[in-house]
Formats: sequence, structure tokens, C-alpha cells
Amino acid sequence: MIVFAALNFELAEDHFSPGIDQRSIVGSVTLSADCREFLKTEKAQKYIEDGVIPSDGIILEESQYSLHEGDSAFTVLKSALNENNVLFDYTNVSEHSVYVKGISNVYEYDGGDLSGWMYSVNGVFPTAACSEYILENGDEVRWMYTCDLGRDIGDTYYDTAPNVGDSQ
Amino acid sequence: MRRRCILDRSHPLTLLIWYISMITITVIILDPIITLSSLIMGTIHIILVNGKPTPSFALRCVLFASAAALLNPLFSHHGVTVLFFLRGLPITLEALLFGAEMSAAACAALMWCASLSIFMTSDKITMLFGSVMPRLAVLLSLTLRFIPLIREKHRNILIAQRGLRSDSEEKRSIKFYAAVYSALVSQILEDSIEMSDSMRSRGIRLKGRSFYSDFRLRSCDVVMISLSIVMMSMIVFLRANGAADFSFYPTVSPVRFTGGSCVLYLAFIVIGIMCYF
Repeated sequence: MIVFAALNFELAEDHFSPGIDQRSIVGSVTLSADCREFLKTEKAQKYIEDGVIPSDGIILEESQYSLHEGDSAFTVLKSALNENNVLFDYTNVSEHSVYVKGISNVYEYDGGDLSGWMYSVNGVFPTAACSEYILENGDEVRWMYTCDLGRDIGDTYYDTAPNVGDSQ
Repeated sequence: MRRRCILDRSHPLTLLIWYISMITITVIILDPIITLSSLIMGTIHIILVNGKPTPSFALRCVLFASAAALLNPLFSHHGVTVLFFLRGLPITLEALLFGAEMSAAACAALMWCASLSIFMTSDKITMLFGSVMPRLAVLLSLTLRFIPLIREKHRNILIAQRGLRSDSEEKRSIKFYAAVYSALVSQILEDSIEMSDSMRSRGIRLKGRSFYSDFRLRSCDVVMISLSIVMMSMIVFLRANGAADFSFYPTVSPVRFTGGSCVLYLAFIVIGIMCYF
């Protein structure tokens, strides 16, 4: 039992029905997640046939989620996905930085070498890790799958930033 | 026992090509049919060549395989069939099956490697790489010869030193073994100097030196090499065109016996069993 508790062992039903969040609600944010760019790749057909992703590529419709105190782009995504029974996978890159590897079984590198999940807040692509970006009331968070380092979903970081690719 | 297959009479080049094709296909094509047939053929091959494996060896294989299979779901969370959640991350059936597939393929590859070490003797390795990398071949043959030589020398020195000393206490002291090993090292050094002198005087570094080897490329070697290459290129071609494209993620795909896949499986089995004819 102690081992189970330490490893946080949960069955699927328990996982998708989490307890009530004790933190105070400070507002609300809009959140959506889509993998439209992934649909253009060869693999997408199998994913749609298997029922892993919907045929329009929208995993989470744009909708309102309550914002708790200290919520980051990651924690809001996590609770939204759990609420909608969607699987996802992440790693802790460092103590406080989380990297989202895959949402609904669409993983990084599934759409090529330059693919993976990115997020934008109010149309801007932050350069911080999603768990370090603390959201404010009324923010609009969009999680998007890119197949080209963000260029195909509107991020201009790699086109405008100087010295990209230089070792510093 | 070893007379049951032609590998021990085969040319080293045949062995090289045959083992390369068997092991690479087993490891690279992660398809259940390929892995299963490789596992079955490998087991039969080892039993025919080497006699029945001991129970402890079989047990070790099974333990290794199950450990590898169980570890994969802890690191890979791909897959849609969730068994349970650990630390907030899903443990999936697909990852478990992929782990089982990988460990089975590794076990099969280990069996072929065990067979390789039986048939690929040092003289065959030397013959294979002698003309391509002469220095390496010389070094390899010298080293491989040196190991039994050193063991024999060590035994002789030990006997001689024991005979020299009457006191039983002294025979176990550090001083005694230091004397043995110092004698051993100086003998080895002297031997290697002598050997290099003798090799130089026989013209080891002269241009145009030829190699002698006892192996002749016979007709059955030619058949085996060409059949291996034909089957191998067929497998590569079919695989590139989407045959045997079994995938575990996001869902385990069913085994499809399409024309291409069947030919691929058959080609692999042909490579595997052709050493018995």
C-alpha cells in the first residue's frame, strides 16, 4: 500500500475524476488544443482510423476554464485534458520546467524531425517553459502541434531572432 | 553434433554475409511474425548445434526478456489502452507489448550471436580481414595466440617456482606471486621481441606479401551467398514499399498477411533454414 501511495497508483476512473481543487479561483482563461498541421502528414490517416484524434484535428475545442491561483499554461492544460478524458505525456526537463511530449498520442517527432507541441498566449509564442508561464485572468491559451518548429502555426522566432543556431 | 549444418564447412565470407542478414533483419524489422520465426529458428539451431541448453541458461533468457518487457511501459507512455496510471502518467498495454516484442527480438539476436561465436573461429576472422586490414589481422592473430600461450607459461612458471621453494608458508605469500608474475612478464616481453624480430626477418612489411588460407569458395558457398543477398535485397525492397509495417503505437495494428508481407516472411525463413541443406 505504501509503495502504491508513493508511486501514485491510480486506475483510469480515479485519474480522470480528480478531487476538488482547493486553491482559490482568480478568473478564467480560454484554452484549445489542435493538431491541424499533423493532419497534413502521412501518419495522420492511421491516427484518425484508430480513433486517436478527430478528423478535424481539434483535440480540445476552444472553451473557458477556471483559473486558479498560480496556474501556469501547463496546469490549465493538464486539468482541461483530464476533464475531457484525454491522455497526454510530459517530462520534467528541470525541477520546474515541464515539456509536453504528446497530447492524445500525437507525440513529438510523429510529424517529422521538426515537430512537437507548442503553445501561444494571446497570439504570442512565449519562450518560457509552459509550467513557468503563469497565466492571468482572460488569457487565451492555444496548444498547437507544429511540423516545422512553429513556422507553420505562426511563430516567427526562428525567422526573426538573431543568431539562431549559433552556439552561445 | 556440428555436422548437422553446413556452417562449419562454409567459407568465412558466407558466414559473415549469412549472420549479418539474419541478425540485422531480426533486430531491425520489429514485426511479430519475423521475431517469432527468428526465435523459433534460433532455438532449433542452437539445440542442433550445441545440444540442449541448460535450464539455468533458459531461465536467464526468460528473466532477461520479461524484465526488458516490463521496463518499457515505465519509460514509454505511448498507446491508447491504459492499464493504470503511475505518478500521473499512463501505463499502456501497447508499451508493454512493444517491450515484449523488443526483448524477444533481442533474445533471438543473442541466439544468433551465440551461434556466430561457435562457427566464426579466430582463423576465419583473420582470413576475412587479412587482405583488407592486414595490420589488424596480424595484431588479432598475435593477440588471440597470446592468451593460451600466457596461460601455459603461467602454469609452467608456477610449477617451477613451487619446486624451487620448500617452505609451504612462502608459497602463498605476495612475494612468491610477485616473483611468478615478474618472471611471466619478462618472458612475455622477451618472446614478443623475438617474435617481431623473426617476423621482420621473414619480410612481414614487404610489399606484395600474399596470404595463405585454407578456405576455398565452393559451389555451395556461392549458392548460399547469392541466395542470402537476393533474399536480403528482396526484404529491403519489400520493407521500403510498406510490407510488414507492423506498428504498436498508437494502437497495435493487426498482422496483415498481404502478398508483400508473406513474401518477406518467406524470404526470411529461407535465409534461416538454408544452412541445413
